[in-house]
Amino acid sequence: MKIKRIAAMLLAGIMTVGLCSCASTTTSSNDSSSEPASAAEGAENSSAEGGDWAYIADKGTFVAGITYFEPMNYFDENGELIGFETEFTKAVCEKLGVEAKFQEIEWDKKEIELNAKTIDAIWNGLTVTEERKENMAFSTPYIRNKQVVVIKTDNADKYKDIESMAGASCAAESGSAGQSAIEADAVLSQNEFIGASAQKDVLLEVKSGTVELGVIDYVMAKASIGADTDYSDLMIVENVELQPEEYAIGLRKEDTETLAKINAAIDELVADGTLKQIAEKYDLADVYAFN
Amino acid sequence: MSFLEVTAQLADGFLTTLMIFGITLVGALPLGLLITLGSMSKVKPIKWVFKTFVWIIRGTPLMLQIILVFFGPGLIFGAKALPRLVAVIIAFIINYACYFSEIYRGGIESIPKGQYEAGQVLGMTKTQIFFKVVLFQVIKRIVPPMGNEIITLVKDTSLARVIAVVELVKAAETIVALKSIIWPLFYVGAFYLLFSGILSVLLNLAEKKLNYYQG
Amino acid sequence: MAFLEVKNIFKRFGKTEVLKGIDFSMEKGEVLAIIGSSGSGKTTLLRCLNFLESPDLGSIVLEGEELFNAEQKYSDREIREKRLHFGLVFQSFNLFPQYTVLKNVCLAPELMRIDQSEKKLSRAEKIQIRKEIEENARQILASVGLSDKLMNYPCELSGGQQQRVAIARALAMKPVILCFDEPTSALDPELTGEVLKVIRELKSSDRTMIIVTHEMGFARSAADKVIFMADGVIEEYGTPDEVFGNPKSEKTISFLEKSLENITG
Repeated sequence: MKIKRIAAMLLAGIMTVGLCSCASTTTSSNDSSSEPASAAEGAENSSAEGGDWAYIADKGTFVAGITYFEPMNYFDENGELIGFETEFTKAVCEKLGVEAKFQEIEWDKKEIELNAKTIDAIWNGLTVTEERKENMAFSTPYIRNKQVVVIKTDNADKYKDIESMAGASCAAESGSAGQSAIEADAVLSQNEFIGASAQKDVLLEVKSGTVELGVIDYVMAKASIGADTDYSDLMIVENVELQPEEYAIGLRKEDTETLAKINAAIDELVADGTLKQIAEKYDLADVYAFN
Repeated sequence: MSFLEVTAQLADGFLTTLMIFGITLVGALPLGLLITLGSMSKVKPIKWVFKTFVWIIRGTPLMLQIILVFFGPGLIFGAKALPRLVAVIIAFIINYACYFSEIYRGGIESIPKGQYEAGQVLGMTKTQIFFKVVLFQVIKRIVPPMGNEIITLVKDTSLARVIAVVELVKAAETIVALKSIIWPLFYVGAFYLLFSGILSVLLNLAEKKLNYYQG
Repeated sequence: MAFLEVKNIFKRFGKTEVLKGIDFSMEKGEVLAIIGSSGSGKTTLLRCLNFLESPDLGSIVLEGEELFNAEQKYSDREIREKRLHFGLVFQSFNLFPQYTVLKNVCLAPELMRIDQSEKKLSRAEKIQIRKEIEENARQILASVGLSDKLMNYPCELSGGQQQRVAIARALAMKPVILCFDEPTSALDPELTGEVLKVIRELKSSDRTMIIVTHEMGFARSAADKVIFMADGVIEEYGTPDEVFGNPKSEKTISFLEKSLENITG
């Protein structure tokens, strides 16, 4: 009998996950994306009597879904979690009176994590996009990042400007801001495109010579490429700037109360200069959104 | 990052890999036997339920099952999710129990009817026949296919990272992401090779030990 | 009253009626040979006596006690107890491959006397029982000429030796009637002799036996009574001289002619 129930759950689950993943990848089609969202709302009502903030206040912790990368969330020599987003999250949570918790996630499952309530926010350099707005709520953007082109230093003379890049193969993380930047660019959109599963894989593609150009965000590029890394033979092409992007905190769409509280906390941190200080500490002053 | 530091960090991930491997084996070996008994049941509905269950589990990717066990409760029922490692281990145990159950079934069905009848005419009970006559012969027959599954399990543990459990591969990826060095990703291969190598030797020994008689 | 009485046994598998009313009886110490072409139902009859098959109709009475009646239901435990009156030696030996010759013979008696024992046995008692069983097994194995193979595994023995172990294993359970299901059919011709010799020796010690066999010469010389079966019924019954020397039924005559051809041709 138990087995029957598990089997039923499995079947139901397979269908639901199917729906959710459809919802997170399709760009339009309101009908299919609204269904799992309303299911999640129903679930929420049954588990937390108060509003969405009461649910977080009750458990006393706020779980930020992250992946580890410098300079956002990473470890210092002592194994302490540090980084711009780490300190930002802690600062906001302090204002809200809850404990900040960090949960590593697989980036391509961030929407599932959020809706399954295994995390409370995606807070890890999340780019604001129109598609994502359909499935989650965004806080005030706090970083204005740009997409840059990464090449091998050997090719420094070959690719000096955007015109010289015509016809060169081009990689970016699938579904990332990098991909949309390529699609929006008159030259790059005509080139062969390779979709990698993560931004760091884009670097790997460029380094191993499987593609000529890699498009990743400036923050990531600046932190990953350098003299004492394995990517010391890569460089950012100066003077080529693609479509800019904004980073914000991603929340469950129905968590309106939480969103308001977080935005208020951000305002305070901007006003008293705390956020700018954190940005400077992690060398992000040039992309800080409130300059 | 030095070789030793990387090794130490990977060893942490490897510990999780070992844990998933070990607990899965301990759980799936007996659970598989229960599923075998269910799928060989003379009561048709029970047999049907077990066979369907095995079909579903073997017919869908383990990765999907892990995602389902972890996210399913929250997405479908709004319930609290299990701890990540627990979810992974549950999915692994169920998945591997189904594969094991089919191997057990094959082993049990390959034992000639005459062995059961010989036990019967000698006045043994059904339990005695199973444990004193059949079981050992089944074990001897299933060690080679089980060995295959067990080696596969070593490598399948890397699927745990789909819900961000930091096993060996994920540990290496984290180093790659944070330190911008690539070689740890290939270094993990050495861990897997060493571990599956030790297992192969042990399984070979077991096979040799059981080979004192033929048939 | 006869020692064993088999009354009106019917058995069908699906639509095939294999036994159609088998009646016979035998006396203590008698050797009964059952002959007949394959498919005549003789093996099924033997399996009914050993409770490996359950007859649809009929009864089996041993020494005045009704062991089986098709109208009654028996529990596993009852069947286990009742079948111990009979021993069975299979055509394909069915030895336990993972055990030594000695253990093959000792296993069932040990399980019965220790594991199925009503009262809890002390360690010393268990050791004592094991010792007795092993001693008995050694004697039986010596009597079938296998004293030098006690620690060998079945796969290391010839077919004839394996069948002699199987006979010893059946004897160790001290059956009242020992049954053989074509004990030499799976053997190379040069190995049948040693098995038949053992069975002859058992006859000389007055053991009651039922032997399903294709060995006509053996049936004629060793059996006290012979049953010839055809199409699920007993076609002919009598002493070897009557059945082989003066058969009455057409079917018996044609069967005997054919088997004679096989021997000479």
